[in-house]
Amino acid sequence: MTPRNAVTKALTDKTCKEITDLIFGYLNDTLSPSVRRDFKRHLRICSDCVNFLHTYKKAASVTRSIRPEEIPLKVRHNILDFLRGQMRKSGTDS
Amino acid sequence: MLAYRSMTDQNCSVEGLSAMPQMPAVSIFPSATARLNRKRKAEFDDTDLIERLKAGDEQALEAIFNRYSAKLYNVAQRILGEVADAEEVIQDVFWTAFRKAKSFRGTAQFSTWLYRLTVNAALGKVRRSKKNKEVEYEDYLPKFQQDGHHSVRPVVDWSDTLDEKYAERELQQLLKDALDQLKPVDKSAIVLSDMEGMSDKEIAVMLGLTVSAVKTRLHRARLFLRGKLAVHLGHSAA
Ligand SMILES: [Zn+2]
Repeated sequence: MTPRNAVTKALTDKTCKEITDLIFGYLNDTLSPSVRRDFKRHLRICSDCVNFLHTYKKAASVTRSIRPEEIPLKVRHNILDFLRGQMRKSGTDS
Repeated sequence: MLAYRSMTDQNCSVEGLSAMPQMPAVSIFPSATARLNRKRKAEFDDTDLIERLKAGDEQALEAIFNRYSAKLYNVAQRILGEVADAEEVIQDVFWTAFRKAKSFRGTAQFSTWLYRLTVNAALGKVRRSKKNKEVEYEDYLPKFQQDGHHSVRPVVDWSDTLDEKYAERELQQLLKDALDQLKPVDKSAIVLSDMEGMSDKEIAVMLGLTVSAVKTRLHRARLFLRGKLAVHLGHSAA
C-alpha cells in the first residue's frame, strides 16, 4: 500500500465529522479503548481535527474560567429581610 | 410554581456519546470522586439544619441561606444573564425551602433540591422574558463536506491567539454574551457542568433530561461557544 493510500484508508476509518462527535467523550475519557484508538489515529494524520480539538478545549477552558457572580451585600440584606418578614407573618398567621 | 420540568427532546443522542462507563481519569473536568466527597460532607452537615428547618426554626433557614446563597445566586444569575436580577429567584427559593421543608425525605437530596428549585425558577423566568437572546446555533456549528471532511480547510488553531488578542475581562465578557445566546436549558447545563462542576448524571436529574441528552446538549453548546469565539476572531466557525 502506498503512503497516500494508507492515509486515505486511515482517514476513512472515521471521518472528521465523526471525530467531532467523539470529542466530548474523548475529553471526558469515556470512549471505549478501540474508539479512543481510532480517535487518536485520526488525529495523528489530520491537522484539521487537531486544530479543531485545540479550539474546542480552549472555548471550554475560557467558559470554566468565568468568575462567579457574587451576591451583592445589599441583595443579601434584602433577601434576609424578606425571609424574616415572611417568617414573622407566617408565625402570626398560624 | 417551581415544578420539576421534563424536556421534550430528552432522547436525542450523538453517535458515540451513549452507553458510557463513568470515571473520568484524564478528564479536563473536576474529578468525580472529589466532587462526591465534597457533596457527602455537605449533606452530612445539613442533617441537623434540615431537622430544625422542618420544625420551623428561623435560625436554621438563615444558616442554610448562609451556606448556599452564594452558590445558588451565581447559578441563577448566570442562567438569567441580562434577563433579570437573581434576587427574586433566590428569595423565592429559600422561602419555598422553608415552607416545604416538611416534604423532605432524608437529607440526601437536599442540596440537589435547592439547586433544582433555583434552576427551574431561573429557567422559567428566562423563558417568559422578552429579553431572552437565544439564537439559532447553525451558523456557529462546524460544517462538513459529503465525505465527512471539514468544509472549510484548513481549520485554524486560534487557541493561543485568543489570550494575546483579548484582555481577560474582554474575553470573559465575550463568553458571557455568547452564553446568553444559548438555549436556556443548554445554558443551564453549561453553568452546572463548567461552573458548578456537577456530573452529567447530576445535571440530568436537575434538568429532567436523560444523561445522554445532557452530553449531547453540553457538546452542542460547547461547539456553539467555540464557533462564537472563532467568528469573533475573524475565522470560520466551520
Ligand atoms: Zn479530521
